[in-house]
Amino acid sequence: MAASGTPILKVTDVSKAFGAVQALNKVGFELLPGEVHALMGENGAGKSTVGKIIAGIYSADEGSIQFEGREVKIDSPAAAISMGIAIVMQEFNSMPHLPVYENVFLGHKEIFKHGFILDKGEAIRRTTELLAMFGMEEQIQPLSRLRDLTVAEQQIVEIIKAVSYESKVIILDEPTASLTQKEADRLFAVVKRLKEKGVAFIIVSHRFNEIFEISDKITVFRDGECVLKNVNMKEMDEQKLVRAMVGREIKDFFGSKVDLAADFEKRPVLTVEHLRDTWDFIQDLSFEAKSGEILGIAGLVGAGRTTLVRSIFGAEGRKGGTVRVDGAEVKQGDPGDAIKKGLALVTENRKEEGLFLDFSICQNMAFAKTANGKPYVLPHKREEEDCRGMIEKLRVKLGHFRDPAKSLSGGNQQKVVLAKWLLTNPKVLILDEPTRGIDISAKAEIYTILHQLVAQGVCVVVVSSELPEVLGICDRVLVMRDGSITGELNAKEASEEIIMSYASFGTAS
Amino acid sequence: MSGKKNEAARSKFQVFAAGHRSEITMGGALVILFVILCIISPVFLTSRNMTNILSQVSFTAVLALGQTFVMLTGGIDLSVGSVLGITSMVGAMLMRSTESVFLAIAVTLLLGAVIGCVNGLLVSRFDIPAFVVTLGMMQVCRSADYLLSGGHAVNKLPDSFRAIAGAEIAAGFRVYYLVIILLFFAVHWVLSNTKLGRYTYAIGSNVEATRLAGVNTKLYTLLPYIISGLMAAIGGVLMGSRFGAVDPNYGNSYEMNTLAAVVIGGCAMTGGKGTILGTAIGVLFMGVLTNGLDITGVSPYWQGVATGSVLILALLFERLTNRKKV
Repeated sequence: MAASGTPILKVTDVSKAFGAVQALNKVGFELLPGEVHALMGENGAGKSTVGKIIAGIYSADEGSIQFEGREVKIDSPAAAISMGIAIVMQEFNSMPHLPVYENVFLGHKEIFKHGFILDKGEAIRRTTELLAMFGMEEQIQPLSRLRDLTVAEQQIVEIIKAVSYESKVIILDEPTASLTQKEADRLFAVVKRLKEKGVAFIIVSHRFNEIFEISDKITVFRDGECVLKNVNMKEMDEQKLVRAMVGREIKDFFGSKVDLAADFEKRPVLTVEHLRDTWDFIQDLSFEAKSGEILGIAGLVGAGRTTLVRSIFGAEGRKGGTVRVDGAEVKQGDPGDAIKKGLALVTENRKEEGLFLDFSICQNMAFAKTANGKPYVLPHKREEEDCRGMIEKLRVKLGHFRDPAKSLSGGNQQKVVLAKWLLTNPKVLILDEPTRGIDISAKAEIYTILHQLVAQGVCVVVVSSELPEVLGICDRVLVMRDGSITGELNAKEASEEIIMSYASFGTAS
Repeated sequence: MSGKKNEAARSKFQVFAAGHRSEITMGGALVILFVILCIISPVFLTSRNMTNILSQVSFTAVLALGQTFVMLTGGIDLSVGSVLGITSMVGAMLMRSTESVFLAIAVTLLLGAVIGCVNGLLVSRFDIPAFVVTLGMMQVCRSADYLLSGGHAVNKLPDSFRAIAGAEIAAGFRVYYLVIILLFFAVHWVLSNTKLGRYTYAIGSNVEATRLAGVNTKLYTLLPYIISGLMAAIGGVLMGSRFGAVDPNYGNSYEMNTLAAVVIGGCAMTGGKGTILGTAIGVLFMGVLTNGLDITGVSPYWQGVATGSVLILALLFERLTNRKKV
């Protein structure tokens, strides 16, 4: 069935403010049955907020929503679900201790006998069916506990949950952020199949290629307003889309590498030898990173990249091996010592491991420097100056630097975390998925900052699942698979194909 | 940048108000309660009654200081009342047997800190929930208190000891009120201006981020319990000195009054949120309310209904006003 007829969902003039920040200003779009509608925009542009309003998680300050031609008030997620609107979010909303089938069917009234006893057999049967639809029945058992699955598998369960409601509208908020290409392809196959049945999708994503692959229409947000509305995807191309999103053209997206040859010699600053992690997943891993270079660490989800950088920094213990920064050995399992020696780690989960959401932006930025500095009495004045400097340098968009960090958008929160580590003046800055869920102009800004740091002689190590990013910014790339380094590539000789081959098979071809 | 532009537009007060909503709400409620009592009771606003209130809240206030510290890390200390009991009893018995007031006070304070340290170690090193650890400690200490005293009060404490809390600045206004007030200022300063203070909030807000920033989170989770134990012992010294005797029931059920006051003052049970200003307001509010019920002749049987309802209503009000913002 092609997308046609009257809109199933119509959003008109919706506005929403969070404190002093106007997140949405009279935005709207239309969704036809069987249509995949992309919402694009930079972080903080408001696209996720729209999705959450439609799903009943936030309430709009003004504006109207029509569902199947009637004006509706969606004041809770339960109301949205009973209407036939489901959302799959970036942050999971699941119960890690419960098995997969209970996670999927807990919200289903019809599967409870007499209204309160879960029909276990039926729930398991239907979960298996749904898993089969994704071709995941081998990998995910309905009885496994959710917490035992990988992040990607948990994401699939979230999507299955949304599908299980037989929803008419499904909102996918960054659905592929933690999926491998293969898993993403499976997801899109399911989207296409459901589309045939008339299910409409709203998809929020930063990945251009998937937007062009899967979407029929697109609405673009910038600073809380719609700049393009219900545009047919056939009339779009990447250039047009980027222009619409940022209001200007981004030349030289990945920033330019600065030529350093004249300024100083590249010398090894980070030396890792025979590293063995606490779980013996990584057993004997050695590499070097030099000052003035950006070293990329690529690999599939689960290759051990995060474990590697966490055990280098001491966020996790090491069973063996040494880590040296400028010759000085870094103690195992002691982040304080790592910081003293000149290491910094921007972790992949900024909310869980990076930010104090209720702390002010200033306190967040100053935290690590103050914690590792001398005075026991907090140097408020110096913190404030540092913070102003960083806001300027990283172009953080904020209301007031005394506002809590939770008032910021994802991209700006990431900049706050980055600022926290930059203020410790690291010799080696390690970033784990630094641009996950971040809009393109914030991405470009972060790349520029990394290049500036490298020009000052800092060694930057980037763990990333986005191959264009790895190829675009790194000087050298290490590829990991199953806890070992399977390939080392010069930026010039690397290509997505070669990296994928090392990551999947451990060889170049 | 946009930051500077907005900075000018928002006054210091607005920024303060945004960060201290529960303090302002409860502060307002305290003022209203105060005014109402002034109007309906002729004896409320007499210096005698005012000093009476101070006397009534003083012990809860000291315990609340330690409790605030612990709750900011996301913990809870249910043992404060019993620690007050056991430390004051040990101090009183030492005083009678050794005749040395100084030694007795030193041991009292040390004992409080040690008990707090045991609490803190069990919570920080062994990851046992603070609720369980301090619930157990509460029972152990109270029981030890009875065993040690045989259930009898220790009377006739030395005059030099009684003089500590007995000294008055003006009629009815005792020196130790001033000490407690200074203690509030000191703890406020520590919480807002030292690493200890910042780490305390940080641990309650996001312990993993705190650890990854190089902070010894185990140590800084432990310290608040030691402070709480110490505060309880200070409360024990003041109570013994004030009444010249120590009864094995001293501090009984104080942990609940303390918790109520701290929570009313805006401290979050989950940690990371709360201020000493809020705790001061919470303590005063509960004190003024209890006193108001007393002097207006409300039956003591009704007082629990009043204070309990106020506690729940305060949190209900906060949740309702917060929810609108989302």
